[in-house]
Amino acid sequence: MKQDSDVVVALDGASKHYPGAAQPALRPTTLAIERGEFFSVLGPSGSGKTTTLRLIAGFESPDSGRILLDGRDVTSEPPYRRNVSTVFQSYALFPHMTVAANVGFPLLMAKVPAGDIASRAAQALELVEMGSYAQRYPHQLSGGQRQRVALARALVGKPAVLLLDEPLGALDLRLRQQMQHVLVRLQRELGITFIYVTHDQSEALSMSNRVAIIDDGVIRQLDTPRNIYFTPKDEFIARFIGKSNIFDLAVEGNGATRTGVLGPLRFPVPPDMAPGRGRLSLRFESIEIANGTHRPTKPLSFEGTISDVLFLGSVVEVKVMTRAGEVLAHAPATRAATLVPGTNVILGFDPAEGSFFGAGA
Amino acid sequence: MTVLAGVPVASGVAGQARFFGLPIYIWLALLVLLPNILLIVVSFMKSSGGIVQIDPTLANYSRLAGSKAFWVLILRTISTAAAAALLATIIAFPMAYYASRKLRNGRLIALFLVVIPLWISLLMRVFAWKIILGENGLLNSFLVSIGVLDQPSPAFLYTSFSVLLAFAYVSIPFVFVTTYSALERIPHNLIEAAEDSGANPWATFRHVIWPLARPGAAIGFVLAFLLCIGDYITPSMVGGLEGTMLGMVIASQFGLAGNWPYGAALAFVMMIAVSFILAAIVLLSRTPGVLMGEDDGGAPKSSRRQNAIARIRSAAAFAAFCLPYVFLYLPLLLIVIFSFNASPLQTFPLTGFTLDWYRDLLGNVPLRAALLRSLEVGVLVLIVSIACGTLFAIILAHGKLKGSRAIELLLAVPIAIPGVVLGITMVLACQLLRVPVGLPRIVIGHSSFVMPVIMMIVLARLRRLDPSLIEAAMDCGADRLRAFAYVLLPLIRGSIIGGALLGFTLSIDEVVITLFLTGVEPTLPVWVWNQMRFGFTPVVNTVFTAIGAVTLIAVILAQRFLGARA
Repeated sequence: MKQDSDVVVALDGASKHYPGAAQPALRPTTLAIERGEFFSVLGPSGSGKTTTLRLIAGFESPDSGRILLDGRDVTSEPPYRRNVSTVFQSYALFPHMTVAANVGFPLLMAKVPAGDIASRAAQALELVEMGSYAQRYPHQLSGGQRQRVALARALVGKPAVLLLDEPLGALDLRLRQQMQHVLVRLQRELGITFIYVTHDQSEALSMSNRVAIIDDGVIRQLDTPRNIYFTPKDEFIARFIGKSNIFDLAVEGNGATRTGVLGPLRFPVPPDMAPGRGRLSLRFESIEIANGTHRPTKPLSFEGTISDVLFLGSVVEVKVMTRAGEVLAHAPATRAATLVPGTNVILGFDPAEGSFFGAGA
Repeated sequence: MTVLAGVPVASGVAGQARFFGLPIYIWLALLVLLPNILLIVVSFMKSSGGIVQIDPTLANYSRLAGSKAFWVLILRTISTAAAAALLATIIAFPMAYYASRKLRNGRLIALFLVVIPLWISLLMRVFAWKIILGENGLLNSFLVSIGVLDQPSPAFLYTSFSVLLAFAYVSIPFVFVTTYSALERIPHNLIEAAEDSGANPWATFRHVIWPLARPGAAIGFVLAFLLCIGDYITPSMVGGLEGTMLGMVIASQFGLAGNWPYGAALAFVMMIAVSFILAAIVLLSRTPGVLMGEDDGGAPKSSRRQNAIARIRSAAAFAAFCLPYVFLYLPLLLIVIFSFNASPLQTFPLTGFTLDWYRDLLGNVPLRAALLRSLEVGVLVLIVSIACGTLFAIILAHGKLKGSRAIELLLAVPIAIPGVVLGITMVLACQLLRVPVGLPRIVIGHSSFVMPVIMMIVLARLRRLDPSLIEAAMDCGADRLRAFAYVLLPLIRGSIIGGALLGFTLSIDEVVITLFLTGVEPTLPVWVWNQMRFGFTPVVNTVFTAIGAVTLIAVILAQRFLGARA
């Protein structure tokens, strides 16, 4: 019976403009999220990602368009009649209720018999490893523990969709990484659709099946993390995701072939580029550094002087001053000793590893 | 929780800590302990010919225990005060809910509009109710004109009903303010979380909003209850025989009846009864847990679509918000109308427009003197209360004083004593310490309850401050004095001003306690009281119309000014 690719949440031309705001928070957007998916909405602050979530949860009504849950139009349904749960950024635990009462609250509202409430709340708490804290009050818990309780409360009613609004924002790095694993595990075990809103690209890319990148109230790209990373649709995405170097090119056209010119370097570019100006985006990990005994292995190279080195653990990030401007490159950390500011180096790259955009993008 | 770990005292010097506590101990001894102990002591004395005899006896207590009238009276007084406080809470809660959670702009105006009536003399507002409820009053005229009554009914005035109504009326602002501040602090995301958990509006209210607002509503209820039970003025104006309250009997023992020990015994019994009731209310209204975070409760920016039922519901909520304002302002409107009415009698129908009363106001020397005296009292009370309240709050917040929690509660005791009882205890203490009658006594009496109000507001602010701020100031090289001047004071200034405003409001209109302490030179409310008993002139209307107009303009200007800055 189970269909693997049925749509559980859909936005149908939904838009939102808050009264008094200069810009619409969300321009008319159509979006389909599939059952069992871990779906992330990624964007800078003020991009409209939280608005998208609040429209789905029902805390806001769209100005135009519809919201569909399981194919049913819920646009004018209040939040308490939608089978979705939210994990709030601030957790929003009820301060006057114990952990057990907080987690049991959605069941109480659903008129579940008292005995079942206790056992199901306990189960939900076990799921997030908070079973021994049932009788505490929220103010007696640490941030990470509150986070888990909020998660248990959202999951206890077995919602069709779980909405998470930057749920890890207030946690420190170690806890955040721990919780990422917890979330991925829960999502897999429970098979619930997760819609995860964040401004942290590593969170979005590492956990999701699909990611929507949103900016200025518009979805700029919706794809798998892999595709977003390696084939960004436009320059905005290329700049937003990862660390990219953007080079200005001259594009020469000759029949069906196109040639990019970057200083003295000439290389083929995709035939759909218009002659004139264009841009090449290269990830910092696609640019190698040659000095001393290390010879460049990539087809093209240019010279520069190291201006800055950041130690990132397994690799070093090197900022190199070149005639084309500052370039970010990377090298294994084992070579850090020979890479000091002021050293002259040769940078190697392969245009085929990059992405090309027209000048207007 | 030790907050402000870095504020004044050098750590480890116990003697210094005790020295810092000295002003608190002196205040506590003179203004809290001594007056109340005197009350108890005097209640066990004999009275003969209006003079207290130093001769211990249980006679006063056996007299009141054996008096059936006393038990009827105390029960009626408690039940009337409780019913009035409940009525005020039922009216004020929906108002406060609407103002704090539904309004976005105009929350301040809604708040001020409820508070402004407090600036218009309590006596005048109650007096206006006489005009409304009397046999020739508005209510009767209205009911007769629409045919509900054949002839004016005497049933509205001089009954327990009129006392209840007047009590509820004067209580609403107090319940509103405490409930409003409790509701405003509830973060909006808790309400969203409840809706998200499947709670409909009623379930959200029952399980989330009410438990979190309950302690605030209870404080409002308690304030209203205390206000009513300690008030002997209002029932003596609108109560008649049927509406006689215990406070009137107590006050008369210190006046006409001239039996201080018996009055003290009555007052002590009232105080004990009130303490039990307050303790019960506090215990019943407690909510576990601690509200975390500074998240502004805020009105939702949500613009959710509403169906027909929701629209009816919000219309009803709007009506519950607006109608009490009519109730609050109707008596004030009468004061304004009669200030322009030609007849010297305060009855309908109106006889014609005149400005004579305003001309009389300019020439009325005793009235002007009374107004100035009230301002003088208010300013002196504020100087004493701000200085001591801020100092005490800082010492208590510092947390080095032993039993600071208990000291804090003891300092606040005068707030929890019914007005009539507080007046008596103050008279006894002032008599013993030979404080001159008049201004000094009044300032001391008012400060006894204004100081703790300011202290508690400042203390609440201090406890929310980040303790590292003071440490940071000292880290930047500020000594304690400069850390106070440059960091602490700017941070608590708003609370001090807010507390001062509230304290001034309470002092300027105080009459219940003041009547015990005043000499031959009356404050404005006392002057009005005398006017009402011996030859009322409509000039009184003009004073309060003027005060109301000035306050209203000040509030509007303040709102403009603050609005422009925000």
